[in-house]
Amino acid sequence: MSFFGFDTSLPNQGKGAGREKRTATPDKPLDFDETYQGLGEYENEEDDYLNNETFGNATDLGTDFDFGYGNGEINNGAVPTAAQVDHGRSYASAATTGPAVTNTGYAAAAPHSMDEGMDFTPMESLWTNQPMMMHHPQQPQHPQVLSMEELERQQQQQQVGVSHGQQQAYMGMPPMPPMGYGYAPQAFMPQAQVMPGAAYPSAPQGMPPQGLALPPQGMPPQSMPPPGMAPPQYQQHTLAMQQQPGAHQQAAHLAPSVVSPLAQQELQQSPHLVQKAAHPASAAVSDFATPSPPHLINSKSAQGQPRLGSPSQMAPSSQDSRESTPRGTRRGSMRKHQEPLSQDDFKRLQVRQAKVDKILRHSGVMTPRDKDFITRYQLSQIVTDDPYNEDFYFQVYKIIQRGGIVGESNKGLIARAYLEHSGHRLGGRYKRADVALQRMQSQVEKAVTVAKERPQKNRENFDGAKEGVLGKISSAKNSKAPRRQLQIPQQRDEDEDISSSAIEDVVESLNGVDISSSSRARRRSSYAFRSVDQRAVLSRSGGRKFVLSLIETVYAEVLDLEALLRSGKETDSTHLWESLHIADDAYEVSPFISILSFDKGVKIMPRIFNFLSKEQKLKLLYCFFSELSHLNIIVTSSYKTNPDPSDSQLKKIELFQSVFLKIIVSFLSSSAEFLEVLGLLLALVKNNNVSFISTSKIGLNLVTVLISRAALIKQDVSRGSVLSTVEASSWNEIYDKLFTALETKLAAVFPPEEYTSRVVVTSSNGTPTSATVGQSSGHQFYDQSYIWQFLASLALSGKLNHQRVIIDEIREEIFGTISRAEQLVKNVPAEEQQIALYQRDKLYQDLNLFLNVMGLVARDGEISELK
Amino acid sequence: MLFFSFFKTLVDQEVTVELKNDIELKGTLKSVDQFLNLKLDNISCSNESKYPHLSSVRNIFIRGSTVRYVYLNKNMVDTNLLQDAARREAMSARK
Amino acid sequence: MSPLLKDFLNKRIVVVTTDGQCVKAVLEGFDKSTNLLLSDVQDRVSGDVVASSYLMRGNQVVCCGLLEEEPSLQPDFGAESVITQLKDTKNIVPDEHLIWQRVWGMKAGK
Repeated sequence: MSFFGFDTSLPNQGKGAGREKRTATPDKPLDFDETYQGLGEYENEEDDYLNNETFGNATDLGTDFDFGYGNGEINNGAVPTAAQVDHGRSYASAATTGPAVTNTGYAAAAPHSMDEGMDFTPMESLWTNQPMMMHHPQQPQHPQVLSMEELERQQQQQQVGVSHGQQQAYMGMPPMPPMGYGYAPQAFMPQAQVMPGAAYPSAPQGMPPQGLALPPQGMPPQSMPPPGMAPPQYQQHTLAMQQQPGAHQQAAHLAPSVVSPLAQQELQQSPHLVQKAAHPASAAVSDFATPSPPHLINSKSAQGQPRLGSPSQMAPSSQDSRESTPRGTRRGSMRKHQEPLSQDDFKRLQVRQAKVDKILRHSGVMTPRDKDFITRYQLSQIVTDDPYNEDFYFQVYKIIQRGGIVGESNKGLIARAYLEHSGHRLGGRYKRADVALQRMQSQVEKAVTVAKERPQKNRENFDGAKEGVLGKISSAKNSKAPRRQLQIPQQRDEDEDISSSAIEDVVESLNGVDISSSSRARRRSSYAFRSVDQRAVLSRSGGRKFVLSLIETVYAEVLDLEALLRSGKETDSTHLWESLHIADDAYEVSPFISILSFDKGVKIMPRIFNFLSKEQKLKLLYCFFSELSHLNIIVTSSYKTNPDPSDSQLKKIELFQSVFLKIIVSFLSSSAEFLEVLGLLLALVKNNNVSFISTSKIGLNLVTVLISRAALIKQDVSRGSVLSTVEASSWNEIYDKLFTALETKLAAVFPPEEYTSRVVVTSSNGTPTSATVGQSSGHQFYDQSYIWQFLASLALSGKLNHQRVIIDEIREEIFGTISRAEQLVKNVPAEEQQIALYQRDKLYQDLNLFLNVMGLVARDGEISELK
Repeated sequence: MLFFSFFKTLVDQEVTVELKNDIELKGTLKSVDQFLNLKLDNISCSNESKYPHLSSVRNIFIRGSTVRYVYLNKNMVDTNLLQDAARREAMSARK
Repeated sequence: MSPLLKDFLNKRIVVVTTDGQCVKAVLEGFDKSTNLLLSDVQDRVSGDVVASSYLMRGNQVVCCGLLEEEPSLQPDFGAESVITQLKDTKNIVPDEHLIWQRVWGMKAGK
């Protein structure tokens, strides 16, 4: 707001000659229209609502509001000098003045109604005693004490007055703040009083408005002398008498009912007031009695020209005083008060007033309410039940950034959840996401190593098989068995197989996981789709919207559980489990499978696993493997259904590997029993088209995880305790089943050349993923290690005849890889020799993982027996 | 409170703030309050030749309401955590 | 109360307003909605005295920077070339109605 002539519409006017001029003549009244322009354009601030509370909004100020409060046509002889405080008043006071003026009809009489020297500065004395002391009266006064009855009567009158006044006198007054704040409703009265008082001598026509302000004091307007009937002096006197006592009484009365310390302070000082009130500074005293920041100081009174009555007139109710005091006395007393002011006193008062002005210069810019609000806000910032709740991001981020878990384990828990279990930390920004793959690989390698150490009792027979298949093995024994002797496992009836007793045992071991009915019914429509279009799957599990809302529910549950974990309470995963909809038969495809279609659904999995029991995890994985064909990521990562993977799809695959594959691997290796692994494998084989799944990288990974884990357990068991016959026969049956499903399609696990080169191109253009390897970005090539890992673990668990079949089917790939490795070194220029060598070693390394299982090794273009 | 929380993690990091009057200020974020008012230190104005008004100013307070963009380095944000925090806030709003 | 402006109290600052004005002044006080109480307000470019005391509404404030130069030194701009007037923050498209007129015309044409 442009109180001081600072023109807010500056840019339109260029720089400031006009402003300077105005600043130079501060006494010149301001035309509000000039400064107001453009202010209306400011949009409301969100905090403006407090303005209404603070300043009142009952009356629209309008554009004719006079900030200059009159042109100083004061004829009453007052000299507006010392109290010319034209700055430092709060806009609060200005704003409250506005409605009062308008309401009392002073808009018309504005030029006359107010003293130019009037000070709008809020009184420090409202909050402290000191300013009050500065107004020490110099004359002895006669204290007038109200009797109890009087007090009560006045209180009643005043209450009546307030209720009426809401419509009458207070029309346009700001809405009253609730009790308990620094000021009571009556706070506004003195303004209405002081203004008329100040203006009255020169403006008798201001009478009616004053009358309006009176009812709260129990003085009906009609009791007022009509304008002009009484001499101005008398009128002024009467009014002052009528108003001031009222104000004082209200303050004195209300004080007890107001609980604030301010009010109490006030109360304590009330006697002072009564005793010392009849001084030139009586207006200031009435200020004091009014616990309102929007306040007025009457400059005339400060100048020692009292216009208000003696204490005897101030204290009692107006009616009482009117009855008891003759008019003449009143008039006389007033004169009497004017007399004692000497020139010295006058000067002293001026000095005092100047000091007060200085002190008050900027006071009241913030009202006590502002201060209070801010204090409360600050407190609410400091004190909170759960800083994680209020300030979650900051708290957790800081813990993570500190690079470790410092302090109490309680704090660390949630951070650990992010650090260790969530995929984005492992993959994501800093590292490539092959941790899960490495883990799987090490599992396979471990199994292979064990296999290598195995006493090779049937070595001869074994060699023969290899020889026949691979043609030229530099083995000691030559071409013992012709190729046609290969034993091809006999095709068996599928259903018979599944219902065999061994399988039933496996099923039982899965803690009552229900293989039968629902999931079987569900799978029928399964692996028929041949496109990447995931909408088909989504629609069969409730629709995209449904699945997305499921994910959010799951997140909500997890966040709740994590909050419980932090506060050290027991967690109950029942709700979380239900929200996963794993056992939900209502849909053709389990909604859980569709949850995994979305990145955020995949990302939450590790955190879900933190809360699930082992049984629940098993069920979850069972569901997962049973409906693997529906899994979007399988379709995406299969070269058959998605021959041209995009960058984002490769990233999706990457994410799935690093997050979900990892938790499967860690679950299987840490807590799964042999039979449980078998159960999962069975679920996979029985319900899905394994040969399709094996064309996808993720699918192959999953199969590898299962069979290599099973092989490892079997090896461990065979060293230590004995594998029960049931377990052994179950394993054999399931393996046979798996093998049958893959037989004759084993070569199909190798993606065609076009596919691999596409992946290489895509991922070297986009973000590098673990789909390719290479020392530099320019020399990436497709990483086939996952295929060899699969073949190795398949061969590892198979019998000799199985191994023969494998070798037979992928013979081309074995030799193809060897020759590719040799070509690499031959055909590259010298400067790229290093890269080529690395690439060749990598190829051999992968291939040998598989060959080692059978006691063979490939190097330098030849396959030889493993020493 | 989410973005207040978020901006607090950016304290002492270098950010670029674009204001609604097209001024771009680059500097170290020193503090932020609940209105997302920002305080930058060691500022440089990327279009200073055009707007020299803020030359010889190093330490600046920016009112949150006049900020158009805050440019961040990608690794200053933990998006997964931010998503979680957003979910938490949505959850607590629902309750 | 936001403590952010506390460091600037009673110091010379540069204030940019939403209507593209730039002044320097001494910060006498402020509140949580960035209402500023300024004294000795001068135009940043010309150095002209704008006001001796001024209460600036918070929603007018774009930013305030702590002035580190000597108070007597005038910034080196303004002497020879015309300083680019700072933009306001309202980003009003001039004659926007004409654009919409054309858009609607095109839609009607189709």
